[in-house]
Amino acid sequence: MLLKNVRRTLSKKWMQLTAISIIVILSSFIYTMMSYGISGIEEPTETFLEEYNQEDFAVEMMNQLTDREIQIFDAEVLPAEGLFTLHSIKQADEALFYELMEERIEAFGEENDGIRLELREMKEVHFDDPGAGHKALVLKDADAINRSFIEEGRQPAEADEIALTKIYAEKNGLVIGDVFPVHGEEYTITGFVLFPDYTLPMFDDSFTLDTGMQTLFLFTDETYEALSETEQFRLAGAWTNGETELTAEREETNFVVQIIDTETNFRSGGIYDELSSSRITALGLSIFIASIAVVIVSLMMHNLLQTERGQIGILKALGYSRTKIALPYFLSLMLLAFLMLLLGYILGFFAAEPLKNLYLDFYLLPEEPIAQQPGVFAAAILVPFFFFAAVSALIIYRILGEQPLELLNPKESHSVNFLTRLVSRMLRGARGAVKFKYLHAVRSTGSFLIFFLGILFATILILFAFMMNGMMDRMTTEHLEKTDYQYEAYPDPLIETPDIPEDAERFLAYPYGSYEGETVSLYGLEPDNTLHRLYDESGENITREIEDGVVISETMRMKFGLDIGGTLQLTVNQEEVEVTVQGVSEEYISDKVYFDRETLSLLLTDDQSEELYSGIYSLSSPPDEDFAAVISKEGLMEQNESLEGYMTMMTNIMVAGSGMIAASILFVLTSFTVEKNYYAISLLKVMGYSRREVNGMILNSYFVYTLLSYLISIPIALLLLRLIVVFFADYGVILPLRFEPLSLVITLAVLLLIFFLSTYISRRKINRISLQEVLKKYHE
Amino acid sequence: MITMTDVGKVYKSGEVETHALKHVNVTIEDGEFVVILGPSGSGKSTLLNVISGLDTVSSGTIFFGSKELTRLTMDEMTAFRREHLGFIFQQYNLLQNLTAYENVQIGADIGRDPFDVDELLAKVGLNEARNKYPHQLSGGEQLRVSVARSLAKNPDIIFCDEPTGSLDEGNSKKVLRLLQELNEDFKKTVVVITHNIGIAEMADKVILMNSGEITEVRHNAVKKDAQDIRWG
Repeated sequence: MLLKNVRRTLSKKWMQLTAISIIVILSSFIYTMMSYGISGIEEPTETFLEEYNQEDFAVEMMNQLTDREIQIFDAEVLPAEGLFTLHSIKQADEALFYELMEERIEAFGEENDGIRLELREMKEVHFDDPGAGHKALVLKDADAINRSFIEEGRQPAEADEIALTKIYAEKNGLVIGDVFPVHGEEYTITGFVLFPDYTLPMFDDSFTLDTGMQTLFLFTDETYEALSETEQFRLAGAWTNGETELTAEREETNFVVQIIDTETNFRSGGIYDELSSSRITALGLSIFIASIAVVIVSLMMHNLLQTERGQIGILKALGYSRTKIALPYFLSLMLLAFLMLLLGYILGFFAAEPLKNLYLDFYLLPEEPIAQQPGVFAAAILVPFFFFAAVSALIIYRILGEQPLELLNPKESHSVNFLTRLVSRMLRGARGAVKFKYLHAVRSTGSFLIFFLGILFATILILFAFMMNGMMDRMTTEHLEKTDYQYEAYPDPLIETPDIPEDAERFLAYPYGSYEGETVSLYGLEPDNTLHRLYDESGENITREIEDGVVISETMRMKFGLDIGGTLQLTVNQEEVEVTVQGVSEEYISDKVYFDRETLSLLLTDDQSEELYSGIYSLSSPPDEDFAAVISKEGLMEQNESLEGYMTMMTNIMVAGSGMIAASILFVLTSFTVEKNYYAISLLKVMGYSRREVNGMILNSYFVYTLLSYLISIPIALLLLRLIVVFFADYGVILPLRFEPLSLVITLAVLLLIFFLSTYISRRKINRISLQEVLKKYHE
Repeated sequence: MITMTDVGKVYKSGEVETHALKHVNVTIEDGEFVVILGPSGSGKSTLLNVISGLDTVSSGTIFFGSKELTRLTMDEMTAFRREHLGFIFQQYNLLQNLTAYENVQIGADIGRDPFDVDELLAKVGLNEARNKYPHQLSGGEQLRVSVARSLAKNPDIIFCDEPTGSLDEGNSKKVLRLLQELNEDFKKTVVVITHNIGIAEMADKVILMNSGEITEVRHNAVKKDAQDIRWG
């Protein structure tokens, strides 16, 4: 009987219960989705990386011989002119090349105990079938470190066989057994491959991660060697007796450009950061929402039971035990909480699959179906349920602890909180109606805190979403759009210098410069070039600044805190060079220093040549046969646009999600406010306050508090976002979040829209409160 | 002057009809102290509700001067209450997060020609307690704040619903004295609903009700002072 009565009472509050249910569902949904989404890739990834021996560190080395190496090895067999690149040495004398690599491995091993090194050999291939601007990193299979993992199918065994990444195959409609053309040769796909040192498809310093346009290739060793592309090398390292500090300070190891731990290497270790930050986000977000849910459910319970005081008092007076009275309330609310948590869990489980696929869209990781885990179930359902139960029980028993007579009389307030006293002082000279308006909203510290957190949370997410908008564009396409060339092409150093097309301009790229121990790319351009001009933040052409010094990329400026007029101590070709920063080019990809080509050429050739170049920019496509690589700008931009679509989707999800949470909180709180002020509203109406005035007095204070909370949230949000940018900058990733003052206005508009939508029902409720309520027993 | 002609009020609950007021005809003159007396369920609260516009009538008309209240829309009735009517309730109905001063101020805010809040607080003897919140005041003090609030906007008529229902005799008489002063000093029409026969002794006019009907309208030739009335 009692249970029936409680169910009836609750059913009258279905709208509030729905809003609370949304918050409860979200608390378990987010945790479940993110936990399964993360564990769905984490566990198979850990197994894969361990079994196929992911490198612990990578040793980036000079692509040329050091002076010492030139003296030791017989230099006559080496190419007589130009740079002594490792690629050309291998082409000219393979035995000598491997001897040289052995020498390097030995030298590094002698300086650093407890390690094992293996040469990593790779080539970058550009091709236009199945789509323009596609590229692949061809890795020669390793013996011990970074061994290939065949996810499906088998390893290539014949010269005309190939393995590539599964995600690339899926996105391009390829299956095992299909024929795949590369440079006119046809290869049969035998399997899908992954490599532990490329969990992210980052093959160069461009931040292009489209797995539908970039892939990894595995051929037989013979086929690999036969590819004409320029080869790149590094040493993959593993600790044999635990992690130690690595150095390269001896003369024998001066070929070392950089030693990078896997943990801090984006291409191989980015996934670790992603997983740990996702785990923290999942936990943080879930705790945040679950806390709000617990407090709101507590408030709801409190309000509900306060309105039931009379009934509870009668039951107590009739002799019902506490437990008998409490049980129906407790069971009804706990059943609802459990069902909502369960619903959140089920929805979260199903949403985890697309989330996992979202990761797998970017990362090159093995794919396995998600399995349910008791731990996640417990954390998503049982933990919040336990809190709901404990808090509800506490509230119920506190109310039931009162004497029947106390319960039969209206509850009187016996204290005034700090916020009320503060606001009251601030409004000392204001009208009574204004005081009432602003004081009733701060009567409950807990409710007000939740309200503030809701606005803060929504502000952060919406602002972040707006600042992210166009980020990929700024990182990639925006810079490319400013340049006038259509193609960049790199001549093959082993063949005779090709004829340069008439519409082309030469440039010199040297990716092995160093600044403060970090690799920076040096570029030589003509100061009066027309195809690759440099522009600063205000859009001004600053290409000519390279005549008097250098122009650096925005990334470099942000990362190293550099500015115009400052000097740079660069290490170029083992020599220290001091240059003055004359301008900052608005580019967010990698650390770049632009020189006058003549100056850079003289630097790299020890004043021997002013005419050195490594590639050309052109308007028309240079002939493939003359160049080792021809890259289409349009192809690159298409890749970036697909990433922009992903960012837009994330932006929408963030705005919608935060909007939903903020709207639920605002609705529940304003609707509680109306309930709590039921008699006051009736009184104000009786006194002669108009409908509009009453609405304003009850709800418009929330409008003002929304504005105030928003204003307080702005600096907190911007500070937090700044911390995120700094956090990523530590990993060398610059997030060009752009703060537009207009986004503040839009965020405010979104918040106000949420406010008016969520208070609409409360406004209608106020209008329905009858005038005679005030004549009934007065509760406040 | 309020004139009620053939006023009826019927509450419907499903198939059941309850006639709360039946053919009520009564006139309340300006400046009168009127007591509506009757047992529980006699219809006195319903009568107050319809006179003050808190509820609508089912039949009949109510005029305030030449203005027919029963024809006013909800918003017009709100404006009418704002300008002409004040209320004092049995449960005081003070706003809990406002001080005594602020509770009176919220009444004064909507008046066209309101009284000075400080003067009113002094009048009801609450100058010292002006910054106290309702939970810091005694029952008598809370009722005095309620009286000051009803008067603050300077209304023409003050309706009191069982104003002394929650007080002891001493405090009740102090409050009734205050109502008498409102009537005499401020020239306000005061309409008090009560089941306490003693209060009728201080009225100009006593309206006796039973079962939704006015059974008698009595005029007191001599009005007693609040302190001298019989209690109970």
